[in-house]
Amino acid sequence: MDVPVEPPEGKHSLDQDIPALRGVADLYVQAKALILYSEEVDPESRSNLQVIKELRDAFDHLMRVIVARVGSEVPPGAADPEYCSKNTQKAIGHIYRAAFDALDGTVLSLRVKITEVVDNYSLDVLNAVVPNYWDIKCRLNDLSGRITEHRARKDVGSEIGITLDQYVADVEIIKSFYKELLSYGPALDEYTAKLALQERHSRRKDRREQLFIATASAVVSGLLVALASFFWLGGQ
Amino acid sequence: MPIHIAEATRKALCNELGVSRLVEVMEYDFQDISPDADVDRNKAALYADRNQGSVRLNSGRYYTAKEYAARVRKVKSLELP
Repeated sequence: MDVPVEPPEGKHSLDQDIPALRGVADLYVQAKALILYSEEVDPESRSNLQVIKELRDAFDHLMRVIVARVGSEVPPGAADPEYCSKNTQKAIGHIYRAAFDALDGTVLSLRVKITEVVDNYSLDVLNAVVPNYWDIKCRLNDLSGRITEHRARKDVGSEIGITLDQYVADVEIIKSFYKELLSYGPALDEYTAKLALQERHSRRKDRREQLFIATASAVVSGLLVALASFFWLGGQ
Repeated sequence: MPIHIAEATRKALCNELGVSRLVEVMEYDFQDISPDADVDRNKAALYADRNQGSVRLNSGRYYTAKEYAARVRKVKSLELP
């Protein structure tokens, strides 16, 4: 069976779908960037099959539009006048889900990377050297906790763009913090060494004090014993 | 470039999928990928040699749905100081 390269005469073209397809195109460019970043930042450079599955489904819905408009045969559902717009919207929904899944993966990867760095330092050191550590920690915990919630919110129709924008903004803060955290490396090491030195001095001072107290106690006890012996012998 | 599919192949596919015309499959959805209907990593590895597609997928560098769900649980349990 030959499939013609040119659409058959008398059929519709994709012209009427251009505004909607432009929306898909613009969203896809942004989603692809988020997906690529998510793959880059993954500690094991792994892809997420959920993302690939969403892109596959987006492609399938786009192909339904293309087949309905310019294919040699028309799918049965294309009798519905809304067929193409519905499928374009479904494609958009899948691209959004791919973007959300990619962002979820990015949050997880950043959390792993941040934990690997901060695990080497005590809370005292982190609070002293990294001024916004506590705020970022709370935000990261909050974002990680909302990963499943974001997935649920991916189906919220008209708000989906705002939700995605907010999520991107949140992830940007965590990304910036991770970069900032890496730059604090020398200061964190220096402060840790300083605290260790202070602790050594403090321990030495404590030992000296304990030694002094023990010596003084021994001397006082000796004197008391001597005095007691003197009076006891004198009384006899 | 024109694409050729033999009539016998077309008939076999239609029979297998329960459609009278191939274009009807456009209304069908692909299988889901979720923790309940996951990808078989071993099966994917079987086809890796002849798959000309993604190097990342062929080398097994991906999370299946179950692995991803496990990763979410594990990373969420990480405690920051």
